[in-house]
Amino acid sequence: MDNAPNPVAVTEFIDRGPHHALERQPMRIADSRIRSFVEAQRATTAPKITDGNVLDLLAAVGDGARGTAERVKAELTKPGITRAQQFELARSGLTSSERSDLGQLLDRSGFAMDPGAKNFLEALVGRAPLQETFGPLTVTGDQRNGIAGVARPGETIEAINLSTAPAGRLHLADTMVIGTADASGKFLGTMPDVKEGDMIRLRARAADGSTGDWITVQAKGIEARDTRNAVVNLERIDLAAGADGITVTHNTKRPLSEPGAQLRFVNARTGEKVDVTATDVGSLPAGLKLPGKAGDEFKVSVSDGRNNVDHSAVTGTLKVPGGTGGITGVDLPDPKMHKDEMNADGTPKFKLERFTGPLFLNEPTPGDVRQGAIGNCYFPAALASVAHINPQAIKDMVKQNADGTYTVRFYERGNRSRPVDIKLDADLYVRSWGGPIYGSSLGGSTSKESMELWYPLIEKAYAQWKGSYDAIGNGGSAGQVMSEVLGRSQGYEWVSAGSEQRLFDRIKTDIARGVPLAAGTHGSDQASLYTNTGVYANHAYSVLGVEEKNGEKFVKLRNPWGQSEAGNDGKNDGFFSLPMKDFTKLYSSLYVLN
Amino acid sequence: MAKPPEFIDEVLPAADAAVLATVTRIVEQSPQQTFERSLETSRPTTAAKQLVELEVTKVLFGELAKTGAKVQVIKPEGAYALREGNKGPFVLGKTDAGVEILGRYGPDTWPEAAVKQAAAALGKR
Repeated sequence: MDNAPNPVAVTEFIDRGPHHALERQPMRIADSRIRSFVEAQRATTAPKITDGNVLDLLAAVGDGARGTAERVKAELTKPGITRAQQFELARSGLTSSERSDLGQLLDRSGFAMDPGAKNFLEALVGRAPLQETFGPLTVTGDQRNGIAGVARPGETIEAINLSTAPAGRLHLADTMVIGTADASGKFLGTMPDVKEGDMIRLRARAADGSTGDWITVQAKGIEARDTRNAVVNLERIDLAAGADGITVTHNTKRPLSEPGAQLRFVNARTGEKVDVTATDVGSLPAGLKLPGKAGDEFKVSVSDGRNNVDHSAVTGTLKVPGGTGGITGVDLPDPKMHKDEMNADGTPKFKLERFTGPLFLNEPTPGDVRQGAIGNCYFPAALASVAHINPQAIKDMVKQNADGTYTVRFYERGNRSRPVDIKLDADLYVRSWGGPIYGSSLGGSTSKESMELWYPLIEKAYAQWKGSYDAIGNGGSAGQVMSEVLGRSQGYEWVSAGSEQRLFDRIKTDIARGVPLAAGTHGSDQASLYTNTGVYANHAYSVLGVEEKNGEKFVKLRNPWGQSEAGNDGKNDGFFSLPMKDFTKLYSSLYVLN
Repeated sequence: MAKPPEFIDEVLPAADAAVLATVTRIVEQSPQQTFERSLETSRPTTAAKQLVELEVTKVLFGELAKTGAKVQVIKPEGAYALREGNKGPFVLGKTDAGVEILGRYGPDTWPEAAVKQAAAALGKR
């Protein structure tokens, strides 16, 4: 119902077929709300009456006895309402004038229409019966026996539990298929571990792969009360100090909490509190700032509005980088990250954490070394080769100082008269789950309390010496590193087919003499040689020796990744033996020390 | 760049399917830049993009292809290249350009068992 007394012409184009030019035909829309809807659609590039916006039209014609259009719209969108109930709400307030308006919309607007939306309008003007099984996706009833609802027949229903997702590694679109709408459009699906009050995000996927709008429902009817509080994943929050306070950013596309969760940040130094509400995608409000400065710590708590409403249970603490608090012992400058791990403003994407594990768990071995997510295979391959031949050299090159720092010694250009001592602390860049992003140690924990430190600290010292992780993370020579570690000059030999016996003899002799060896594969332009061989292009390996089995000669190698190898010895630890004939085909160079 | 393979649980959430398949044809091969022989490894060089045909022998999850089907997928520019006969688990993702092979080393990125285990943990089927 509407008070607008005079119909107002809304001119539209209509298509009269292939032999007629598009003509303007007036629509005389009496209802001001319907007219506003039409004008708003005309302002868009692709006017369309959808399953979503048709509710505005239903609200416009359903107002009157049931209250304002806003109130009717609220009723039309309340959880669990059926399509038939929506239709009845609209029909009960429909006037003959509004029926005429809807008829004009159907006949003259030229607007595209979702089938369900069109059926609503046709049913309201009496041209067709209401079909109750059109979309959009609607969840009906409670979730005591699963998630039920209606969608278009044949659509699959995808869902994600936003209350549990922040604790895992799921993105918002990492849904699971819970069911398929039957011929009448009804579906019933189940999800594991859904509890009362959980926020479930759903969408429908058509056979052509297209997806509908997301809807979010809060699970009801499962238990007597909501006992699962919201979670907040603190690893997904970054704090940065600036002139106008602390900038708070959500550092991943994975949700950090559930929609609507109340997050509280309390500055441990000043006691100031800031409460914020998680957005509908489980993120933080844009532009969020906290009062504080570099070095401050914030205690973070979360409530879903039913549990932990007094925020007495604190999830954890976030520290603002910088300042002097937090790190015990001497804090030395750290090499910058590789450019791939830097933000546009020059700040690192990953944070530093102080590692306090032992320098050596036991005698250094090649198996201790694990390359991180950086293009410096030549470095761990070289260090593993040295550890294989001369573990004492590793123990001699890195020392812990009385003040808790470390000193690592290299030799410039492999010249023992030109030692380079690098003093560093044990702060390492870490992933969101805590493990080092660059080099780490295998064979034990990667936790900051217990990881063996000799390899990651030598790598950090090398980055510090050369300028940054970027300076050492875009390729290099294993021979040069072995030279700089041991203070001896380097040499190399190009590997070629037909040199199997000579190379076998050389490797055997050099290893017996205590000469560390490494090998490099061909470049990326020959990458097709490698797929399915277990060996990788543009990569360096430690050469650990040779062996003969059943008359066939093999070279013993190690991949510095600590995994991914030729053959299948059931271990996948990076150690493998390769027939010499394959070695001469797949490898380009052999690095030696003179 | 001979970086280690990505952690599978950082890639699989974005995947739409995973299949066991064999490369039956290189449909298109972008021009491959050649590089001088070098003593350096992990250089920032890449193998060119390819469009390849896969014959699917088993579907691990997803509906991008059925067992026995032949599908054309994009091998993006990166650290590896494919040739006819290559096989293994291919993790696939839809992009605006088409279906793309995910994982830094294509079928040599993760073993089949790791893909299946991670997919199960994510509820992908």
